Amino acid sequence: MQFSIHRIWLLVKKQWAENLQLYCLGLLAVTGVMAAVIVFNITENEGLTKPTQQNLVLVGLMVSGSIFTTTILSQFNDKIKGIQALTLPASTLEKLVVALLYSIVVFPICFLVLVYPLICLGHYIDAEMIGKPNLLYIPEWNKQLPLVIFLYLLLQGIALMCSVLFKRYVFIKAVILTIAVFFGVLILNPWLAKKIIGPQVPKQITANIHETVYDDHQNVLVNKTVKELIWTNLYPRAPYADMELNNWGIYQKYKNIDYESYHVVIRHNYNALFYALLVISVPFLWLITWFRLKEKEL
Amino acid sequence: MDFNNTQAIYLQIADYVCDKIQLTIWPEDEKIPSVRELAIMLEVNPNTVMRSYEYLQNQEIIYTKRGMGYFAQLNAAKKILKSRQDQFMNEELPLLLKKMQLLNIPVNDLQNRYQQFIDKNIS
Amino acid sequence: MISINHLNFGYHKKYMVLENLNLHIKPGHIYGLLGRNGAGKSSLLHNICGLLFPSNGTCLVAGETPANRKPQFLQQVYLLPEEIYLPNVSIKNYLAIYAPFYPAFDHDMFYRFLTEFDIPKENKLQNMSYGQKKKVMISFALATQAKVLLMDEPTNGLDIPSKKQFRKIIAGIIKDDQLIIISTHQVKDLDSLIDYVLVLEDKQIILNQPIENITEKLAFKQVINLDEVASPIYSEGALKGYAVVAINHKKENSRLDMEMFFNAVLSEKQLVLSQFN
Repeated sequence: MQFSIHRIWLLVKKQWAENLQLYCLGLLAVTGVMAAVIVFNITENEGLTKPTQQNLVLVGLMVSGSIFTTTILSQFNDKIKGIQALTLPASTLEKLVVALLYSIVVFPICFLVLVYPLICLGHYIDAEMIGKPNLLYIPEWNKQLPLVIFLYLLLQGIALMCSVLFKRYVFIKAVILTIAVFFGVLILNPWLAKKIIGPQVPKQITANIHETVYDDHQNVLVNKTVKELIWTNLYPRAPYADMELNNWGIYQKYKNIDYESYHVVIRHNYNALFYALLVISVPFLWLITWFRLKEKEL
Repeated sequence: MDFNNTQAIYLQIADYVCDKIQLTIWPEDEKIPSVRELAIMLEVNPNTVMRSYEYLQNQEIIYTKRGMGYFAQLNAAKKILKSRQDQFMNEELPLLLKKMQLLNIPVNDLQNRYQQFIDKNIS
Repeated sequence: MISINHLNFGYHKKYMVLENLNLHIKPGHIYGLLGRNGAGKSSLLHNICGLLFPSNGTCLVAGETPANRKPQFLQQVYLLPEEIYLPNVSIKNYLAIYAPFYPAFDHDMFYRFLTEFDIPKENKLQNMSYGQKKKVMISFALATQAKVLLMDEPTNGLDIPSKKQFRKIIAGIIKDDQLIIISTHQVKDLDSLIDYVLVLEDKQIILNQPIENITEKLAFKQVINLDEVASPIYSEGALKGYAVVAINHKKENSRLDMEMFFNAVLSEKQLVLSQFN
């Protein structure tokens, strides 16, 4: 296995120098599309809300990143360019690492550097000039961020793999494959869960219920923990089912009091296995890509 | 240099070297172009020039000095002249004579023409 | 330097392009690879440089298996393809991008060749004609100082003065530890450069001989009447009489006519090949 930092650097420079024009145009196009979407949102009733801003950044990054990633290794699919790409003195691993660098480091940085100021500008127009009561989305470390990063890596992994797996219509095929896998998992998941966990009879348990009661000014009136006997309805929880980006609470009225409750997830030990599988899937995709690239013939 | 189609290239190159030495463009006992220089000059494979030089070495027209390259032999011009005369007499003249006989041309005619040719070249 | 044993190669399992091919060649020579259209010349070159993998048999080039495509191997084996791709950058930038991948790359040599080919150094590659691009790539290929240089139809697209320059450059560059294989249809452009002839026919290398061996066994002549030649093998009608390939009984030193030779091999295969066994 050959790996040289020097050659990685040469490959990074090569990719940049050869595609500078294309990349600049592409980034310009992405910026244009994002600007259009921001303007559209500002004209909406609610204006550019914080969740909208967040979604713009995240969804924009995922989609444009995937499109970009499918192009990085495209020269390997071309009969004439492929000769040069394959005979360039660098190992397959080095060529793959450079593709990954572009897909998961260089592109997100370029994207955020261009799009985030745009969001800030949009927010300034939306909040300061028009005067809508919206807050600015500031990317911060929270529980969802690892999930976002993971999702990005997963999508890029699929896009990169598809770019060496397919010769033509790479992006469309990548999308189809992703959707197929997604629905495959969606259908397979509950089935697997039922197989593994099995149906459960509803039963009564004693649970700690934490109650906080507020008045109209958000002052805490009551804050207490009580032990109560409640009925639980245990459903087999399919793996990945709790992977939601927005964990909404459930509001309910009970005895004229507004309750905000969250559903409780009791993890089965098997769940860890599924998460491990999911995490492993990313390097696995890279491995497939490496193998395909290594075995690539003209 | 244009090569003709009949003779092996390495012999044509040897001929070319002989021309240069005989006309003292490459003086005797002095260095002649290296294999590579001549290969570039004549657009041929260096191995072919090498073969020509080996051939000329066997004919004692050139020699090598270790690490210094190839040199024309002393008396090489004379030797070349002699061998070319032999070649003319033995190979080309018989063909000429055969043709003269065929066309019924007397030797005396040839002598006059030869004298005229020499006179013209001198004046 | 190149050692190929029982190599099979095909794009489809049923139809082999190369079958049970054997080839052993050593450095210090310029090999001319001759073959009909579609005989598999390019496939063979691509197998040698690791672009295609043999389905069977072994291929060793400079001690390595090409299919592994190790960086050290790729630095030593350079393929100049028939059709070339050049990115949209200037010559200077092209050099800055690609030359560092080849540790032995000689910049002075590259610029010297460009001058000899009469190409302005400031040009953008995309604005160049096919012939000019080709000349840039030839210069680059030679300046990498790769130990094995594979050239697929290098003189295609070159004008007459450039072909002359090409011959001069190649004549001056080949070193004792270097090996050049030139695959070509245009034999006449290069026949003074080539000193070994490889003929690819029937999915195999059927002939691998130095020029001197060929002219030792065969005589190439122009005659008025075919009766003038003893044991002719192959002849073509020329303007005056015939061009003939004959068995060299009299130990004549004739000049190899590569085109005639190639035609003779194709049409009188058994007879020609039997001379060399």
